[in-house]
Amino acid sequence: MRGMANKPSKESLIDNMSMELRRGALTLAVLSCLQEPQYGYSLKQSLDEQGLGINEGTLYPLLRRLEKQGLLESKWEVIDEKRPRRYYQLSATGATILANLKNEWDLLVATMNSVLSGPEKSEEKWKQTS
Amino acid sequence: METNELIERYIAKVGENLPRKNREDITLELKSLLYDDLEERAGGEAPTKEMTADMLHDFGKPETIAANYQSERYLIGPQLFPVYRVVITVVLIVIAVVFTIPLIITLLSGGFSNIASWLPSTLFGFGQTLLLNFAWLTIAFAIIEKVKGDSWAEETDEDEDWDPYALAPVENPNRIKRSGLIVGIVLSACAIIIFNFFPHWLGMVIISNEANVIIPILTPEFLSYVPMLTVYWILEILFKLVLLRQGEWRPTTRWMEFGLGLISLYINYQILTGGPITTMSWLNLIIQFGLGIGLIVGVFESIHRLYKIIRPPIIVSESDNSVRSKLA
Repeated sequence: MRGMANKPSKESLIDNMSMELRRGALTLAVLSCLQEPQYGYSLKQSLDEQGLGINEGTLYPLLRRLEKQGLLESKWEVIDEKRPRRYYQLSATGATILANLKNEWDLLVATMNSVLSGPEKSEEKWKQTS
Repeated sequence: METNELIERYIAKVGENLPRKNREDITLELKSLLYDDLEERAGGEAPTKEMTADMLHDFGKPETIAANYQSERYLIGPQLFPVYRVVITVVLIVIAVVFTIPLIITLLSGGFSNIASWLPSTLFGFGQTLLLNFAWLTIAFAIIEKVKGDSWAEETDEDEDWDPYALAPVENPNRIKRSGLIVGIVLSACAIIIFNFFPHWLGMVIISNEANVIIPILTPEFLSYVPMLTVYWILEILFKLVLLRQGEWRPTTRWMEFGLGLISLYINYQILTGGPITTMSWLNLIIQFGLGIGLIVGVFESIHRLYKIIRPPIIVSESDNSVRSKLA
């Protein structure tokens, strides 16, 4: 009976796992976009335009977290009296970390590409030896 | 209901679930972001109520949004939890023991006859004490968790410096402890000799000017069990000799151990429920108490031994073979 307990459907598993995958990448994308100051909604739009659609409920809290960690700075700007906006921008620490993360990302992409093409390679080897 | 009203309600609901410290700041920003979004959706026209509802729905449940704004919250966090579990276990065991002792004493002093009158209230008291202590400990740990905050989150030096070579070696479950077996054999042999040939040695020594007098303290009732005990001790010696010769535990010796355990439980029960053991009543009580504890522990030990013998193996040999054939 143990194995039968509430197995998530294949679709929800795929959803969850691709969300996990994107979550790490999202931080990097956000840091990269915030080299110029932006407010939440404009950031969301520019991410959308680049094909990195993300739920607001995830994006906006992420900005706060990054600010708390000292990677971002923010301030309220009152351009329209009725609607003040909070602008975020990369801090000096954030800039250093972004540079490091970029290198890490390149390395990861190269490694993952090699790992993901692995099974075919080993299959070929298998055929050659047998 | 106006569009503004819906947004206000939404923000209020998110705010309810945010920490007071930055509630105002977050809700203010959220409000500005929501109106930005709505404006974009309306495309220059006046936003409708449905449009607003759709937007809020896409944004997500207020509780979820509020949760996203906070780091994970625990009553007792993962760092504190192992300590909490140990403390709870120790305290609950102590309480169980403290309740068991008077229970045994009551039973020994003839409490069987009116068991219905006191057992329910004793069990109720036991349950209540367990629950109460559990609750207090949990509250105490929750307070510690609250006070410590994230201050323990950083890796300590201990985490960095841990040494894999310091890990304790894994004991082979079938290994025998030779020294323990030899000591056991010697003790059993001594017991056989003393109880059979020199039972009068077990007594009170009275030192006087003329001669040292030993007053025997074992009762004839107890001495009548000595033949039974002797048989048991002989069996025990034989069993330990077999174990020493085999050099490791095997299923047969496990079964022998289980059988011997049952015999000792039987003898223990006979002595406990029989007449007085010694001529001194206070000593009697202590010995009977020890035997009572031994009986309870023995029952649990026997159940555990039996479980260890008959539990199914985790890896069945069939799957073993299939893996092997795949590898071959």
